[in-house]
Amino acid sequence: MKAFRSLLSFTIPLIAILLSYSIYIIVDKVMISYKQSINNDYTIVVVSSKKQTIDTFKSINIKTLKNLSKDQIINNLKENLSPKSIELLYEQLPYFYKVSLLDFPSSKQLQIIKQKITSIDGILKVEIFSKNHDTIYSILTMTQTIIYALFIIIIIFSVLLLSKHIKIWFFEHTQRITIMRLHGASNIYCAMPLIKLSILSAIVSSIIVLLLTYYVLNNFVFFTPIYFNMGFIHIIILSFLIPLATILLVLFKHRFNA
Amino acid sequence: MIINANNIELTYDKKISIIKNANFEINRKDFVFIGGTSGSGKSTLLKSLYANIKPKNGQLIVNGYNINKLSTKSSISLRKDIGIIFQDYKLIPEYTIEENIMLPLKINQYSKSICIEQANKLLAHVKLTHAKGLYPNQLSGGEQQRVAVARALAHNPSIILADEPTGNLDEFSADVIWGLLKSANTQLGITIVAVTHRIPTNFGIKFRKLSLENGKVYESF
Repeated sequence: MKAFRSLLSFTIPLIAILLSYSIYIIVDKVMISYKQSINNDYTIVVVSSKKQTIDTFKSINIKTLKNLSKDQIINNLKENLSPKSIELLYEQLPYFYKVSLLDFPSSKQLQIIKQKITSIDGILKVEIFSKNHDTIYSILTMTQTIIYALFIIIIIFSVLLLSKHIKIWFFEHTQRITIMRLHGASNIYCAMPLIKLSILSAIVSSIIVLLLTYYVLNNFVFFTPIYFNMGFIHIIILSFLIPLATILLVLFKHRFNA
Repeated sequence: MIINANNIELTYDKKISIIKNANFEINRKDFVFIGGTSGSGKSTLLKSLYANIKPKNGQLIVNGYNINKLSTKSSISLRKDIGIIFQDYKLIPEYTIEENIMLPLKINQYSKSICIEQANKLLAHVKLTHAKGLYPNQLSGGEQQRVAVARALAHNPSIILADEPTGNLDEFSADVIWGLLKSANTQLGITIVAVTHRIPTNFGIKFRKLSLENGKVYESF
């Protein structure tokens, strides 16, 4: 029962850390995925007095440059105009382009892109729909920041909790550690039961968190678990690294001088 | 020579000087009693021999290790070759008697089979084979001290340091403990340094006596 309690006292904060990390990774991946989908719908409209090709936009990370046909605009005016006026209109009307970007830009990046496009020869007007873009972008950034801050707070509190448990363990086993030290045992040897306990709790907590993450990815998130592969590896590494590093830190601070 | 103290000064709490300018030598296979009145510094002197405290001045060499300059790593090595017996036994309560005896062997990284074999041999030697699976609190004081002697002998150390090993025992149990230590000295050639204020009469083997008085160490005959 005592051993089970010790295992729980290690496993619970570790699960909290790993779960928050898993949530952070999921949200991050969802954001990337969402940005991509927004980016597919997001375009900049460029009005130019000259014909433009994709090569003139080399300095900008653009995915496509689509020419908007003048026909549709002229068709709407056809009824009220003479054929000569229509011909003249064809000549006078500037070229319209729809520019789609490779990545969803930040507000700052968007302004730079606008400046670069404006500086291209023949460009008359650039419409970036900044109000709409900025609202979406700030929502995305805010969500990511909140999740990141929560992750950091949970890590700090869980590590503090873990180090408290480790200190209590050392306090509970002071007598045994002192006797061992008198017989020539190193600090690491004295802490071996604690190290074994932390490895066991790392295995238990990583299995629980990996299963939960897999379940969430399969049922609630629109990207495949394969996309999360590195996240799974990170969770396993963290589950072993955090308790072992905390033990070593406490050991380093709490040297036994028997 | 296994222990050499040259003008050592030992302090309590790093301030109060207990032993001053002490000089003594202990040779291999010696059986040495350290005597003196309460508070004379017997236990402090013994603590310095297993590097629990370092001399403030002078030079103390134990089994080739200079205690004054001992690093943590070296103090671990020194203690691996020392057997220690305390008045209050210092057995690990959550370990069985067998596990307690195996402790120095495990620390010295002996294989499991050697640990078990040696523990069984020592349990027979101290006549506690029947108590193998019991815990320390299930044994009498005399039996617990026999376990402590077995533990001190387990890894065949060069020196056994005993701090009042019979202080909590009746006369009969004390005789048993002294008998075990005498056989360790005569049969295995282990150097024994025992702090006691009650040197047994008719000891039966050759021994030396160091007395502590007013912070000085004297050899008494």
